[in-house]
Amino acid sequence: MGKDGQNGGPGCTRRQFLKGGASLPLGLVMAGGLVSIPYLRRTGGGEFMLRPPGALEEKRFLGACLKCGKCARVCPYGSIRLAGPEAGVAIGTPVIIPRKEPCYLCPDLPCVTACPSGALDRGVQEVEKVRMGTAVIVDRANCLSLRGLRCEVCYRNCPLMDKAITIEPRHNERTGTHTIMEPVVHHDKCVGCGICEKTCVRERPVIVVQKSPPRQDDHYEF
Amino acid sequence: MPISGVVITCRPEASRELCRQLDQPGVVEVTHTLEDGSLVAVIESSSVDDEVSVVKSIMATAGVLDVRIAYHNFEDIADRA
Amino acid sequence: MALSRRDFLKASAAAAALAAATGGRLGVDDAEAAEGGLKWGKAPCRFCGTGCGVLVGVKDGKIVATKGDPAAPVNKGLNCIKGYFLSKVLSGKDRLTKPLIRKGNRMVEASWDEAMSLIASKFKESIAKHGPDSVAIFGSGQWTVFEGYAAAKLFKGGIGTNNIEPNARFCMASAVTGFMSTFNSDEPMGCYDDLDLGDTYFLWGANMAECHPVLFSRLIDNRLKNQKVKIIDFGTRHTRTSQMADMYIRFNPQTDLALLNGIAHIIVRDKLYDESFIRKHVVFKKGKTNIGYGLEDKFKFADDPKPMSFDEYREFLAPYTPEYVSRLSGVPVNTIEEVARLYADKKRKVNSLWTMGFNQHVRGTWVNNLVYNVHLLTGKICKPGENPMSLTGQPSACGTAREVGTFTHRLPADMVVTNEEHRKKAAEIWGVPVEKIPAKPTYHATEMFRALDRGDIKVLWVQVTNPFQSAPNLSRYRKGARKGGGRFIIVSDIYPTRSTELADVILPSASWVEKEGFFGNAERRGQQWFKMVDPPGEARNDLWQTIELAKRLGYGNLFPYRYVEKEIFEEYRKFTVGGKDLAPYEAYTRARGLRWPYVNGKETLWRYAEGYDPYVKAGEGVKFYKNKPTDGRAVIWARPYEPAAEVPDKQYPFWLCTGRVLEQWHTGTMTGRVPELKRAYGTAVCEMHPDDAKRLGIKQGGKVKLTSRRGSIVLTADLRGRGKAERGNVFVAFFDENKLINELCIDAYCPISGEPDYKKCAVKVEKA
Repeated sequence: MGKDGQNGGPGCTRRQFLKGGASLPLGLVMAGGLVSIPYLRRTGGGEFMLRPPGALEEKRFLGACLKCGKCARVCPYGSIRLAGPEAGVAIGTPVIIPRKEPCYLCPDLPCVTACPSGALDRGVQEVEKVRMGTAVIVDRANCLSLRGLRCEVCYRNCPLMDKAITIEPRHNERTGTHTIMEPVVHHDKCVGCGICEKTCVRERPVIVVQKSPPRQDDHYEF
Repeated sequence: MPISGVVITCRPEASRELCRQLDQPGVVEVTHTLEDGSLVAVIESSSVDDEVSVVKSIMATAGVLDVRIAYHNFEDIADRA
Repeated sequence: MALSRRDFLKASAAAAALAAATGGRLGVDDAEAAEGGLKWGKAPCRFCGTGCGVLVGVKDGKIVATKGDPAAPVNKGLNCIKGYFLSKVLSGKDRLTKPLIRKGNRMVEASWDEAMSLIASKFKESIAKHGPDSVAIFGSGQWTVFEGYAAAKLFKGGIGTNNIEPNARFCMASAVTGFMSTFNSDEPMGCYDDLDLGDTYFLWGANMAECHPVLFSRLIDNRLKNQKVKIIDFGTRHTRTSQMADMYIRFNPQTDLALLNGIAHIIVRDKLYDESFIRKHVVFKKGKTNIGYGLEDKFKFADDPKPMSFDEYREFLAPYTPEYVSRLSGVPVNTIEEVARLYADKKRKVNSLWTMGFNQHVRGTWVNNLVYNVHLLTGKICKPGENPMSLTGQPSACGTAREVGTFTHRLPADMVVTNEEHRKKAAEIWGVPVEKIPAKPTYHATEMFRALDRGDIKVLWVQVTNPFQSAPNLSRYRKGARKGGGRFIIVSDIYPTRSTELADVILPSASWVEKEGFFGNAERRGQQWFKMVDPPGEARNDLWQTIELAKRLGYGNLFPYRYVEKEIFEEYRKFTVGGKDLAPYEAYTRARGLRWPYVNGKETLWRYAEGYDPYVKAGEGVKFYKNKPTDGRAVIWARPYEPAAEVPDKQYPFWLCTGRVLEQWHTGTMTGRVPELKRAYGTAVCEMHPDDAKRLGIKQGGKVKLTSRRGSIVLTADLRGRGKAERGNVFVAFFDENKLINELCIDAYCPISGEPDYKKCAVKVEKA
């Protein structure tokens, strides 16, 4: 009912959580566990550097990038910075530090257009196709939404809301009458723009963009 | 051997009768009756499944509006008394 | 005999359940168990009308922490993200700490004595020259009960003017007139327990997911537990609430009136109503139609209710066929049929919840009446888990504005100035001659600002609110405030705002736990708190400010209190005895809130219902006992569909709707001081449909110019945001002090409630 045309239903979220809700046994301990992963450092250590949209795989990117800074110059938000000497060989390459300014995913991707070398791949023309990295909730214990507070700031600010981040509600065992609205990142949709990391209200963001895990193919279609 | 503490919200007029009806030593023990007619009870059972059915049967009792679980312990316990 | 481990566990289980059931009933002293020098005290949250309980941690005279109160029944320790940052809202760098007096274009620091002397002299001068109706006070649903009561007593009983209004007129006056015209008593029959106990929830113009976050969490939990639960969201904008609803029903703005009549049409046509309930508990009435929009100054309206029969009501509904309603609203015929059947389904416990979409409406009173009609026809009312309920946006819109009655036409506890008996009762309790209280209401909020613009009001005191950002058709009223000609504006606040910038005197106020307080939430729950810290600098409580003015005007004898808060409360409580019975002050100091009527030591969960409401006799089942003129029956009103005040046309082809977001509260004066909330949502944007944007050459993140007949504004376009505007609609949040969207809003209002329609006006949209 009401799923036709303009009165479209809420989609898979509802079905998924109804299923979860129906099978919840009494006294189920809070799902998810409380795993804490140390805050990821992306600069300085030669670890993951968040590149502008369309960047080639890191090694090829380093080979192709002319360090001309054109992408940084056209970025309307000043999100693209040029790496300093702490980046070693990557000095002068463009990098995005989400907590300072994330990528706001301009529909026409001016940084990609400006890149003279192809280090930012012109083939990437739609924001949904961008893969800069993948957002991960790295500190579940400190995530306010996972503690049942009504935060979900990362979800509501996600430019691909309901695709890259969805809300999966589950029963709050502690209060017995409230819902834990869990933000869940979908790796196949997340483009790694870092807006969630920027807007996280905690002093140290509990959701951060990391290097996308490599694809591992198999033949299952779900 | 799970043990849980529950709050049973019921129609105030039914509270006294429910208190008698629900009390089954070793399974359901009504420990408090509150001003608003709610009952506080402790449920003991042999398994979580068993407990689910006890709670369901309380929910299905006439006059009961809601059963809320406030405390739940299912550690494997041995009586050491 | 040693306690066995099992006995121990059983005792723990019982104790935990008891604590959950009774809300712990901890007094403040118990909660103050020292924790590394940290003392915790209880208070309700400072923000919305949900009334979440919080614990405030104080160390060395400073608030160092806040947390959700696990013993508070409303939220059980949870908060939304605004509540999470409560500890920061009082400590912004730009807190006002000294009285300021205007000297030309500068605001100069002054002593309290200088400031209060100046204010008193302006009041005296104006009253002497132009009469008592030339001075006014504009407060809010964030006034504590004591502050609202003292202001009402001073203005109505002392100065002798009905020039007192709260900003609640902007946000829930239609709910009040809806309750009054249908039940003859304000405030809901149900309570939040209905969110746990029902199975069918219709949301009308309510973005609960963002505006009542903790209640929404409770509603969704009900659905997680019970597969039968259905949430149906009626709206003109696809919100985070729509996203989580089972059904989102988009309708054309203003056609909620037609939809509700259409639902009633089907219920009556197919005899789905509860005949015995109607026979016992309902009368039918009709009022005036084609009632206007209050666009002209000094607009006056008085309804003229006429009784009608069920058959006449049936005839009234006849034109609202599903086909007609569908054409008007854009909702498919089969959806309307289905919704009517859900409303009437005898196996379903049906609730309606609404917020500003209903109340900020040029037919706000009507649309409130119409939703009650459906509940009254089907008898789905006054039962646990089955009620209509208006959700409120301010922490004490109910407790102060509505219950204390800080409106021009009101006296405490449902009483009105137009009724001689009521005036007598008020005069007696206040200890003033009855002639002192004027029998005629003066200006409701919008008219008050019009009167200021015209110069009929000379002196205006604004407390605990920010009308020069929140009023509709804002440009006119902002200009009016600075026209000179003897106009004098006093603003009491804790930060510089868009209202303090227009003031002649700015008074630095104490806020929240910097003073003792009392708020009443949307489920009739009164919540008290003690002062926990001193306000910064020379800032002082608004209550003190009001009483100080009273003393300087010669009305100090009206406030002869020693323990001011408690004595004011006990005096106010006299008004409520035998109706909205509030509990003794002491009881609130211990409880995590109590829901009135509080009789014989018991709060009331469901009003008008036998077994719950102490005023309903055995055997009566349901009794709308407050409606004496109709012999204890509620009224089903014949209220037609009438169009909005301003409808999109060729020149202004879009609907503009305004509202709130989760991270910011109202005009952002408090939440705007929290860097984390600013980072999360710092600037108002314009939500629009991607197809409209494409047609107009507007891109995501590009600039867009909105223009109405009253003003224009440039904003960033958001095509992929949390709210999805429907085609032909744009939406802008009103919190942003740098983007005064209310300059575009029309100041048309519901003629019965006086509440303006912030949800509908016509704008032009251009690429900027």
